[in-house]
Amino acid sequence: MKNVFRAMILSVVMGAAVLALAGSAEATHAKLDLVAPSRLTAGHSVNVEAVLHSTPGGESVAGATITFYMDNSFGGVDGEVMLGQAVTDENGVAVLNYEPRTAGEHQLRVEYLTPGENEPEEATWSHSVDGASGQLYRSTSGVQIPGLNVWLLIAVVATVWAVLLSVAARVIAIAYAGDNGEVGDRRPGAM
Amino acid sequence: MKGRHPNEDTKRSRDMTEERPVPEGRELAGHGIGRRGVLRLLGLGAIGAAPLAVMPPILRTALGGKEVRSPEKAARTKDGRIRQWTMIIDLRYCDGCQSQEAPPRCTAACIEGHFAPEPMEWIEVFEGELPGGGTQFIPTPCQQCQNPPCVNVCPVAATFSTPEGTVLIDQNRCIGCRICMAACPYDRRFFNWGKAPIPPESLLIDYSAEHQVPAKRGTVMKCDFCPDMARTGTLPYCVQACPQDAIYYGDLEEDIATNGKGLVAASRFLTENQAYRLKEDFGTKPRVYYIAGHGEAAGRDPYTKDRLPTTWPWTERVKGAKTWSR
Amino acid sequence: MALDRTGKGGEDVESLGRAGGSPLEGTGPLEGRGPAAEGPLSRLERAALAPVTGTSRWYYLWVAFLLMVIAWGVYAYSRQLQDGLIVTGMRDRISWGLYITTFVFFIGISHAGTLISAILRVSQARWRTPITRMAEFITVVALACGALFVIIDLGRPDRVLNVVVYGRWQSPIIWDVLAITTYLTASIAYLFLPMIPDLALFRDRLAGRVSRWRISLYDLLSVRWRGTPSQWRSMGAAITTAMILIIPIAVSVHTVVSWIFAMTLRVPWNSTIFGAFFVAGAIFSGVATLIIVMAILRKVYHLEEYITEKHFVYLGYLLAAFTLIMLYGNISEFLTAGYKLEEGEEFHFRQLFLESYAGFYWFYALGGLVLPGVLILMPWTRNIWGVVAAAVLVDLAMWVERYFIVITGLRVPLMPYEPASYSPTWVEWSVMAAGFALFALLITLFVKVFPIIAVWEVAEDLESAEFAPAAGRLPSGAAPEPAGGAGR
Repeated sequence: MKNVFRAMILSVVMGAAVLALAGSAEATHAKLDLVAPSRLTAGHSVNVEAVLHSTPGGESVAGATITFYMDNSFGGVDGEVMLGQAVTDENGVAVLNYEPRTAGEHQLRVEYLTPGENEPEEATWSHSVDGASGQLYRSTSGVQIPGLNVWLLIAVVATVWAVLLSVAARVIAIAYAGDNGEVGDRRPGAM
Repeated sequence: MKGRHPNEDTKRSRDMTEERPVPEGRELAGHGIGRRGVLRLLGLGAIGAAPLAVMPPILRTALGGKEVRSPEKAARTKDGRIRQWTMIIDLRYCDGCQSQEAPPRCTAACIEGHFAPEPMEWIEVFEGELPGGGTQFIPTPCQQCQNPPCVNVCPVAATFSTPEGTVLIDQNRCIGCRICMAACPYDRRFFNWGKAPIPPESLLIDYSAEHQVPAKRGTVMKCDFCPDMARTGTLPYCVQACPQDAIYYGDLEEDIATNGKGLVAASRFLTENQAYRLKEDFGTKPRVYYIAGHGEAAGRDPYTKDRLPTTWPWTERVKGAKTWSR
Repeated sequence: MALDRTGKGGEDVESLGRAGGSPLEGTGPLEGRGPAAEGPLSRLERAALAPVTGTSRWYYLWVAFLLMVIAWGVYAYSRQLQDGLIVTGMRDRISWGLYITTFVFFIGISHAGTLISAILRVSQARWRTPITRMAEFITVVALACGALFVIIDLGRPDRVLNVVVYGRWQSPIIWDVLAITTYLTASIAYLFLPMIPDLALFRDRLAGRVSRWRISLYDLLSVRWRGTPSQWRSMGAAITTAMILIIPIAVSVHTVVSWIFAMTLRVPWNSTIFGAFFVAGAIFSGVATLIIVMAILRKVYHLEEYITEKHFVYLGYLLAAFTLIMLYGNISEFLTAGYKLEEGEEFHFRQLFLESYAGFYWFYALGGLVLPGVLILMPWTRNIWGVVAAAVLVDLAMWVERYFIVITGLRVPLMPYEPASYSPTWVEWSVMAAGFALFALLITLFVKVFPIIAVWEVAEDLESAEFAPAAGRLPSGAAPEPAGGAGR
């Protein structure tokens, strides 16, 4: 009888120890909070923080991977775009640099899957984005050197043609000079 | 002649109104024209240069004319900014349609959708060699360069960049000089050497630079990124047709792309997969990105070479049209 | 012929002079001479007038032959217009061929005029005077024929005016159009201006001996030339301006033609040397063409007195100098590229020096650069025959050079595909032959209508030089003697 009782206590103690060991590194439940600025403009990036606490207890969970999603639709496909992943630091904070690209009301969803759990922890953040003032994607090609442009070419061509036309004018001058009936030497050397 | 310095007289003869003996021949070549002569020259020249001002190209330069199509027609995001089309081709998934036992589906769909004349393959699947002996398949559409050599050299602006960043060809203006074909470093431009071998029904379609049907003899054509379809939210033929969903079509302005199945954030997709562009050293700055691979995600063994040759499905061709070799 | 009046040589010259002034008026040395002596200046005049006044049977046969070749070429081009460029051998991968080759070649030989007329005139080299006119002819005709070949190469020649209406200043083709039209205009002016006194001579001498329309033509074109001091001044000023202007224009022309290739990213063309190299090649082929045309016209029209061995030898020296410049260009380009062997260069070196196009290249380098240089520099071959042979080799080799530059440039594969091949079809050969026939025909017709020798310039040369023109020799010590010995 005493042995059975001892075995039971041993297994309870061992079970408790296992449970305690299992539970001490990670929380059995976690809670996600999002901290982010409220007013956003398309094209300006902000830092979105996801804070992970274990429940109950509220201590921060470090080293956890948090994934950030947003709904969108493009080219006839509706779905979720993964914006990125971040790992929580010692304070349980994971930071993602997020650049909104479209104006309007949006919802950013954050997800954390506790190991051993089936259901991920989620948090959403609704925010509104103001429109951008201009195009955000800039493709620059080419180097602008002041003065080296098409007008320079036009100026050179125009100058050359002006000189050619002056030569043509000389021919007209020859014709006029021949009009006065003077007869001269054909040979350039004669005097 | 003896004893006279050749330039003696000409040095003194600067004023043309003074009666001078005719200078000798040798001096004639170096005869000065005098100050008044220079002034007359400039005056006549200025008058003579006036007609240049009405030359149309000068007028268009003066009025700030650009060859870019009107931005009013451009495809826009929901909040009104102009889309910047891009393509990302994930070579991990492209197996040259070996698993389909068919010629590449992207090329086939493009040919059918655009009535691309035989033998043009606007998106062409090249087979490049890998170090170590295997091969990879590289579907190559027009790279839609941001510093396009073809646009730079075209004498009549028949090929031009649109506000969305695509490069189009107006076959109504092309004179067929083919300097653009010499300039393209990716072999992506095709010439209609004869009457285009296309089906007769294509002749009924209204031509536009965004939908180059029917092809015109003596002009150049190429992949256009299907801008008319993309504007309405439909993906290009090649993107839709790829059985492995290897081709993504996207917008760099909204920073999003899709292969028809899922959505990705374009910039992140490019960075995290170390995307690259073809012949980056040339500075053409293409809009087509590639992610390195050899079809492994589609189950391809890189040492299994060759794809099936492309075919053109028309049973009937425009009368008198013959195909030609590349 | 009128001037054959024997018996009163001196008086006849004077009476001719009273008729309205000729370059030979007041020919001092002739006055008072006996009737048997025909002065050097009247011989010059006769030589200049001869081609215009008499036409032999051979001339008509020659023109008929050329017209047949041109007619065949026109037929070939009509097939091209009907069926499209598919009748040529060009395809997507090698999209330029014989037409662009011939275009570049013709623009190249048009630099004959620049060198001889302008550069030699600026440097006041007297020996140029008998050949300046021919050089200027060649320039104008070659430019016209070259421009024709670009239009022939177009896929839509019906839209050629788009170039004017929609032209883009940034395009190398537009630079071409600008440069060639400017050069053509300047060359026509430069051909015409020094010809005015000679046209006046024709107007005065040929009345009654040629058809009336020709006299009216001479009358019109000689713009009432009377030889007055103010007219001489105007002409002198105009020639000076044109002569100085035409040199940079000519340099710019072949530079922009080379930039059609050098503004692309093709491996063999992506080189900064193209501008200078092509201009050197142009002057090179221009001098060679001039030598050939000179030799033919000298033989046919008996101009041996004015175009002597000296001229051939001097032009030969120029040709030899340019072979060295071309060799330098070749070495510069190929050594710097070959030392590094960037992607594509290796393929190009194989195709050009060892495989498909090796025959073309080595014919050009050895047969077109080395051999002509040797022919001219070796004293035994430094005579008219040697120089003309060298010139023929040079012209052939320069056409071949343009050919392999175009074809091998396009042949280097851009993506992983098999290199294509190009073989011209009968259409391309026929049209090219017609182009050359047109060139020959225009020169042939020109010689029939216009003075082939710059009479007034040669006349003043004869006056000032101290030698008897009949002997065709230089005074001893006046200039380096051709090592071969006596002139002809």
